[in-house]
Amino acid sequence: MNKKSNSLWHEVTEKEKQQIQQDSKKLLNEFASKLSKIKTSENHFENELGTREEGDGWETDPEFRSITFANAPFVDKNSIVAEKGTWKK
Amino acid sequence: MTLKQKLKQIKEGKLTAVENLLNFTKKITSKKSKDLNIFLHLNENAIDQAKAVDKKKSKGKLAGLCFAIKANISAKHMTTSCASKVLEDYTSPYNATVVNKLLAEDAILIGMLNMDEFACGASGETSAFGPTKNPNNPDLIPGGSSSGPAAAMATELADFTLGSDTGGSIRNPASHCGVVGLKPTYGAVSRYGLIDMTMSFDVIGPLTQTTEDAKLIFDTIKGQDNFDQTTKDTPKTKTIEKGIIGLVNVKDFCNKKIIKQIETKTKQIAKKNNWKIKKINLPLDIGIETYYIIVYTEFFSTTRKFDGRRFGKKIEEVAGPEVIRRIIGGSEITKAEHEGKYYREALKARNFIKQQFEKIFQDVDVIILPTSPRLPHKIGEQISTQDMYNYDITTVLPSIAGLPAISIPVGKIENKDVGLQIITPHFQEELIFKIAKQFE
Repeated sequence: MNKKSNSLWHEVTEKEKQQIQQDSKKLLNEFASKLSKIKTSENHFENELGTREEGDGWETDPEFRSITFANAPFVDKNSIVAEKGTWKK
Repeated sequence: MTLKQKLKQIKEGKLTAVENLLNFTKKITSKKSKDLNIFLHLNENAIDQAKAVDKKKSKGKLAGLCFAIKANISAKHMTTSCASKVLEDYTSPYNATVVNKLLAEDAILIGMLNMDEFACGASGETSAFGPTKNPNNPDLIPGGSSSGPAAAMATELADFTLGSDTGGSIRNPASHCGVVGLKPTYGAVSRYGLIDMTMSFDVIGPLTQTTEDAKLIFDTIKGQDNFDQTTKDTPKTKTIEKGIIGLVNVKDFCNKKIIKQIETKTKQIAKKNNWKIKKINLPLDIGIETYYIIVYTEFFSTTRKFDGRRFGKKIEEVAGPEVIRRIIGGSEITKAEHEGKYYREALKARNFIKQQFEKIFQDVDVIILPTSPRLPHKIGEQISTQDMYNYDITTVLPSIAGLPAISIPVGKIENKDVGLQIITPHFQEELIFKIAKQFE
């Protein structure tokens, strides 16, 4: 895990991904081992301030739909094509 | 010149919004600025916005000021790429609440700034569009992940910038670039429109030249937002009640020269203001461990939407190594979590860290420590993952506890900027500004 490399962006190969997976597991185990020694109880958040006032809600932006459709890689008439696997075509 | 002084000039007609904008765009498009790789996109509508502001009779309180934002904050019609090839063609269909608030006060959005890819990085090197360089020494990293926002302030390419801070991403680059960077209390500023990295830590905050400027921008962007259920209005602030500063013992974690500089400055200001100094200990030895387990888990979850169906490209196919590391790490945690081995332990540690801060704040008004444990390395230098993560060692604890913190410049060591960090209890940003002003 103490292996050094530069941090500049580059494309990640499958081989490098496997190495990252091994290193991540090792790092996480080291982290978890250290944290397991802390003596403390679990805690659940309770809002002591009560419920806050909410506003009037959402106003639809007329351009939202057209920009969202423009962002989608595949559009079929009135729908974004998002079935499992279809993004690979 | 402070922002208030510039606003006075604009109000008196000595400077128009258009002139202010053109002054900045001239600098932004210069070869020197381009070489630093600070901006990713410019706002094509900025000149129209500036003209409209100049024509207005009743103007907002920031009328004519120009700002730029980190490329993970949504601005309608602009490419919000998170410095990633995943979203390089993604156009935001709406404005983040913080952008709306600034535009409502007639500030002018100049453009989108470079950053570490999806805010995953502490050096500014992981951007898919090339690293940002430190303006004070282009061989060095500017810090990250808000590398562009900090570098833009150091080169005066905007009146102010907005960054996001998850574990130090505003404070760390502010420190390395010699500018002011505020991480507000979690929940003080709306995250609506921020493309999240770790939603239980992320906060949007200003980077500026002075603490007075940071206060002006924070006061504009803070407050409850019905589009972000974690926000609430800032309660009344405390004053300096005890007259005691908690100076953190960081001798096992920080560069000795940095420690000396921070201690000398703190003693000098404490003496001037008749404050006492109390040496305190923070659980610095478990901060990184707690932080990164939670970050990996939440980042894995939040990136499931980048599947290449509704927008952009599939993240696992085009992201760089640090993003991939966090996704794979988060996936490993998710697979093993039925044993409560990682995430549950980290949540317990998070609770422990919060309790430590509560105890400390019974005895002191504010906590002071270095913003960064070390001086910045050279761009492209070989560095281990652990060493890179350790850049955050002094900034992650307030993030884990949701506390506000600021980094202010306190001079140079070996001609490299050094930042001092001030932490207060939740929603005590006013107290931060009061104390920070004394250090300027």
